[in-house]
Amino acid sequence: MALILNIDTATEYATISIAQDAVVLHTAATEEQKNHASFVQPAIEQLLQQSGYSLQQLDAVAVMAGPGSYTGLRVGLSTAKGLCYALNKPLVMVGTLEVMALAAIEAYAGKPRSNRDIIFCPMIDARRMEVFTAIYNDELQALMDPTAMILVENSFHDFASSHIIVFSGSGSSKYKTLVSNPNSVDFLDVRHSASHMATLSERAVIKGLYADLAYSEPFYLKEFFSTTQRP
Amino acid sequence: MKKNTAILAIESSCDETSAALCVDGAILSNYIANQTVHEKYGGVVPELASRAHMQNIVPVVDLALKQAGIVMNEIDAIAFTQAPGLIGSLLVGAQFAKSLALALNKPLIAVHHMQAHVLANLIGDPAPTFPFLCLTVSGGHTQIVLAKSPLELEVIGETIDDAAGEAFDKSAKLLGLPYPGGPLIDRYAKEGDPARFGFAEPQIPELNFSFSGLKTSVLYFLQAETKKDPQFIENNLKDLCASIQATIIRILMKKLKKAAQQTGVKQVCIAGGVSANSGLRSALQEYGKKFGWQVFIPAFEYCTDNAAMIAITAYHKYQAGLFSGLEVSPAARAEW
Repeated sequence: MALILNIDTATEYATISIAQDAVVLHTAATEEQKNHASFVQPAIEQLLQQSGYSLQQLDAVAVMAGPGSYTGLRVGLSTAKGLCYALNKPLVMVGTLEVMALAAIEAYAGKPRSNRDIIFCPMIDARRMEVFTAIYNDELQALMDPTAMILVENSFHDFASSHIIVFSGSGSSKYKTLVSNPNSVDFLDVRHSASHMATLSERAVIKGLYADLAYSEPFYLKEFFSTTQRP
Repeated sequence: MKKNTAILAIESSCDETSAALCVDGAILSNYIANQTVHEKYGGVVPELASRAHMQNIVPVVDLALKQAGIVMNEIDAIAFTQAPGLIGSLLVGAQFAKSLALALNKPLIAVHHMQAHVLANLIGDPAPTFPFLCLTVSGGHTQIVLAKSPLELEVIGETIDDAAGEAFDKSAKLLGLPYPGGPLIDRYAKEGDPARFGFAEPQIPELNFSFSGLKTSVLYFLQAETKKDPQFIENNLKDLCASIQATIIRILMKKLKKAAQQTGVKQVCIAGGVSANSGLRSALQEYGKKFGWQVFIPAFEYCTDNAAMIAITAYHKYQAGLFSGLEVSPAARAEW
């Protein structure tokens, strides 16, 4: 039972929502990636006006933790940290790939099933043939933890033999060009919405899974190495 | 003391995360977290700087508030560095500041980093009165500013290429000194002969500067000399440092003197990270005596990037009612 502000600026499509018990009350969104920093706080103000709630009434502030655009993740987390610090509210961090997988699971729910288990593989484009990806079963348990992967034809060989893999997200079209056995895969054109994030942030609050306000970092997934490092 | 205006300021334009509390123009705290991660890369790596700001921001703001003995709901305004700087670094401070302003329902004040460097001089006691001249010298900037009032700051001269701090750091690199090399040049220069070697000095019109030619002049000189004697740099390090430093200071002081003559202003300040340089400090004192200037040098913690200067600038903007909306976003470059 929680009133949660959800902030997602992980990818080009930014969404802010206010949700009560995982039901989204109001949403604001923008597709202008360069404007996320200008968008976020006015959007929050607008949602508060629409909903009639004040920030003090929130039970938690949730932010999309990553993976995603490094800058986008920092815009979200620094916004969320500021709110949590000023309001003395707990911070919740929700994994982008998990939210994407939930959207795919829901979208796939009505589809006819074969006798093979269906698993879900959301992908975020990380330039060239690299993606950020993970694999989940239809109960959102991770079968493969989030990782940065350079796609090759056999990237999911171990899973493809016994499962049907449902790919989704901005990186999945790159894998489509590599697939050799189309019978064991499916591609889903689905975008996660505010309600998918709200579902997972509500779960985190119920379980008391809060992030450390002072030192939490975005889930970058990759260490950063500069090419100019001295010996 | 009756509390009138308490301002929390955040600075995150480059590789220092800083927060400060200012009450009625007096600085109560100025906490600065340095990022040492860049040393092994020989310069500031923007992505690493952004990552470090993200981890520093809450503890730094928290410490600044605690040191000042101010609690959150006593704050009257939130200020932050809007520009110029590294965009990824600026974003962390800006978004955090905007969230504080939103959550506390207090006005937001966007501050120009270079104007703040100039107004850092107002923190000192005694502080200059208006009008005054300020030479701002750092790794990214070299400017002469005529300050007519807190909100009337006019750039009357600036570098057309490298900053003075860059000239120090790049020369240091040519000498094989580790990053940041500027402070090392200063240290070695104290034991060297500043007149031993001569380097090209630019002929730039008006009150503007150029430092890219100096770097080339040092490079060619070192190449020629090390061809004759591979140990040339090692054997002459102190004199090289002293000569390079003297050249940079001469270039700076020549234009500062010209600015004082042209404007008739006799109060002269310095600001920016390079104002920590002992050679520049003593040159300023010397010129002051010679030309009858009253010289002001801020304490070191207010010379390098710091939030106290953002707070003092914001204090004057607050009095003038210069606030920003929550849609304001940072910029790597900015008009004055």
